[in-house]
Amino acid sequence: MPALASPIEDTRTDEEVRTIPARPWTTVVWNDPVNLMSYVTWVFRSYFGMARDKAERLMMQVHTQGRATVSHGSLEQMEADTQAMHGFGLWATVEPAGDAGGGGGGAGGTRRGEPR
Amino acid sequence: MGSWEFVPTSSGWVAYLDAAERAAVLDVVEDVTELLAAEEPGGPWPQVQLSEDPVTAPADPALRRLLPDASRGAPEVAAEFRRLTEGELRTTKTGQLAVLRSALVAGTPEVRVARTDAPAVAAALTDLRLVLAERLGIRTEADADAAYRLVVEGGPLDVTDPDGVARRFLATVSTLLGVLQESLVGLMLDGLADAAGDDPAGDDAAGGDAAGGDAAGGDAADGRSAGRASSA
Repeated sequence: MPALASPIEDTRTDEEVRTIPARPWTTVVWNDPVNLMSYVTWVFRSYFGMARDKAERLMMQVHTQGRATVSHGSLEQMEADTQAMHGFGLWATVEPAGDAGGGGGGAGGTRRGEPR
Repeated sequence: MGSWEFVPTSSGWVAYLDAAERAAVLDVVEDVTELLAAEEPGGPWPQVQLSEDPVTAPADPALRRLLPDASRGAPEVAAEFRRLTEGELRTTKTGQLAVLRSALVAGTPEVRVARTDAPAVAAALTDLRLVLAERLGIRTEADADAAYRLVVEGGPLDVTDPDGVARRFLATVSTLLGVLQESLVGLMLDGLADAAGDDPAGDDAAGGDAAGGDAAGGDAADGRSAGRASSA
């Protein structure tokens, strides 16, 4: 296979580079001793539109592993998801994707569209 | 004593609390509403414009649990998130508490919640329970179990121990709130199953507009005591 003559030129403008997320982000929900398993499942189903099986699996992950990644996408969308979780009374944080730190890391959860 | 659990009726979801129970819950609603108005930069009213100044995390741990940090490892991310969203989050939570308060003061002895109000009521019940848990020093599931045991098997009250009396009272209100929430959320989950059409067992539920109430569909909530409801 012939080698490429030259690296592919990056033709993006500065504006485009700025609007492309440097890296994906995630929303992580953390365990607490107060929130009901049924309520956490309901939040995941109603807010993220998860199927029942997926919502229950992620809820159990929060319960047994202390945390679960519930969505991934742009920083702006993850901040919106985190704010919504706080409105429901769940503790969520915005984390860079691929951050180590226990079960549930990585690109789990619901893929979110780009912010409007 | 009321039965505490929400049940479906032809005119919404209804729980029964006696006057003392309703007054106790209303007291907590008032306390948490005041808490959300406290420590607010620029005064006790919702901010009408975004502050340019940094917003520090609340000093009261209960308020901090309602308005938590949005990052564990990046304080500057948490601070910026707080600056942009905390005022709105306080307003959201205060509004949810107002929906619960309306349900509590509207009827005696019924506490009637329309389906459309149920999410706000469930979120408000969560916030009340989070604050009570913080006041009771509940940090772990074992702490939560201990508080529940205090309610169901605490034995006679020692009225010469005001701290013990207060603790028992808070734990009892917390248990009541847990039963209200678990039963309400069970109905809300049944409603989701109905909407998604993934609950073939649900069509034998009682008639009326509250169909899907207590029939076989409640698998996400059943098998658990609502009193010491399982937490996630």
